[in-house]
Amino acid sequence: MLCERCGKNTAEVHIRQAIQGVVSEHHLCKECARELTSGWKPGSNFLEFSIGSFLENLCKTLGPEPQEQGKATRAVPTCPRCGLDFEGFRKTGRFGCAECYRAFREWIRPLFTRIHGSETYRGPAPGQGTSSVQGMDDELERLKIQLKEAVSEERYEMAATLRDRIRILEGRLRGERG
Amino acid sequence: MNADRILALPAPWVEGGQDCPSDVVISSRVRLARNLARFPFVNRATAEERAAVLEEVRQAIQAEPLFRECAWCRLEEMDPIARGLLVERRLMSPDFLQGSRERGLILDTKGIVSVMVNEEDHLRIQVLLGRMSLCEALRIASAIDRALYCLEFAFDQEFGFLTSCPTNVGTGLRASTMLHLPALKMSRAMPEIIAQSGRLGLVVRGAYGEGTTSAGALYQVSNQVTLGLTPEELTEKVEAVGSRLVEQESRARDALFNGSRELEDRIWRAWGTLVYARRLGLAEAMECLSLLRMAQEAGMKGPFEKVAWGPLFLSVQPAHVQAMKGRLLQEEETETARAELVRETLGRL
Repeated sequence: MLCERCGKNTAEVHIRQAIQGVVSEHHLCKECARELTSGWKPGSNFLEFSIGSFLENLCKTLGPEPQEQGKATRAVPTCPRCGLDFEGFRKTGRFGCAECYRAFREWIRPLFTRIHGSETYRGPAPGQGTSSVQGMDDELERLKIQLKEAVSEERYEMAATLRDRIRILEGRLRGERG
Repeated sequence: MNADRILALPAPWVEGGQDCPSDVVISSRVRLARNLARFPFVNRATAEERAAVLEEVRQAIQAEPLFRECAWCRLEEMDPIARGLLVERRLMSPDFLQGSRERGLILDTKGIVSVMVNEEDHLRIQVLLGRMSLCEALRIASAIDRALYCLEFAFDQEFGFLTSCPTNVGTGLRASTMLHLPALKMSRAMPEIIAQSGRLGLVVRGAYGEGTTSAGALYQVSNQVTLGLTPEELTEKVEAVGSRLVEQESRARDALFNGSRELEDRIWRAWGTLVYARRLGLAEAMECLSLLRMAQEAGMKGPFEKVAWGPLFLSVQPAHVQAMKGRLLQEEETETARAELVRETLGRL
């Protein structure tokens, strides 16, 4: 298994994180684990820690390094509305208001990529319903290409999952078109 | 809302369908996190601001025909048993019990929709249905989301719906399905499944208890990421992996039941425990119920064939046992009352 953060080295550290009772597992290589966790000790292969520390550690690697702060050409931003500064966000891993996202915009994109594998929203705007039929058609096309790739690369578990998703999506499209 | 009224609410996900009373898939749930753009998030809002959010939501709900058959509950007016019942019925998160006074809960009378106000986000819209019905749950949740649009949700063209925690940003959607996987648990396949699901951007975890172990072999599959995929894609992904696990469970059951005297012995012992025990801990009760439910689904002959295991699974939960007795109980008293309740239910057959 490869490290889910760098995707290069073998995952040797297995982390269980509890986000408000929701437990998930992460598999990291020693280098990434060392970077993300201050509590990691060589030789220990299993860490358990709370969302606080996991998210905090993810956030800590964002923005300028603390020692560079004085020299940084751009100031570390502060939310003009709720007054949360970027340092406060790095410590808690929580935004204070909608405006924080705008204030910290360019600093938080890497965080979103790490958490979600993406930094851009796809879906309906407020007040709109579900995504359009056209959107579903595009998605179906995309899934079929992925399926072909998965089969040709003999990744059969992945192919089976993709087949299921295609079946569900086709069912929904039939429903939408009546 | 008091305990009696909560107990009178239907719990469609527990009862299962008419055609097939029990199934590997227990329930499907969709949750949307939303915040009002004009207020700071709950963690940075003052008591006055939280109260103002609560009032705005209350007015929007009252004006909206979709919520005609909903009850508005103030948490501080509810006794501990009533609150426990709501958590066990999965209409409210355990975290909602802790925290400030300015919290409200909207419940529909069908036991399907619940909206938490001032949990981690201003609004947590939740739809809970029985069986594998994530697409339907998303459709209902989206309709509620649209109906509450007048509240002006915090939204950004690039990042989508804005939430207090970066793990929810984007769709604000958590789609999950609860599965009963006793055969996969017994064949020790769960740790590998849990590890694999992480690579697909999903989380598989014990629905009761933590991590790879789960009381009653109940597991929850949910999406981990909320950004970059549309709500439909996220729910489809969870549904696809859920369906795959159902198939794997079915194969594992075939292999387990293939003339296994040991399994047969365990099932009958579970029956014996439920029928004769004088004290019954929660984990033990759920383990026994899980085995017997599986035996029933496998078509095994015995007195357990006709039992409605779903509702019983809910009745043995601590707040439900206490509600039956009408008072808060110590752990030992709860165990005695639980054993009594199970004996009576099964004795009536």
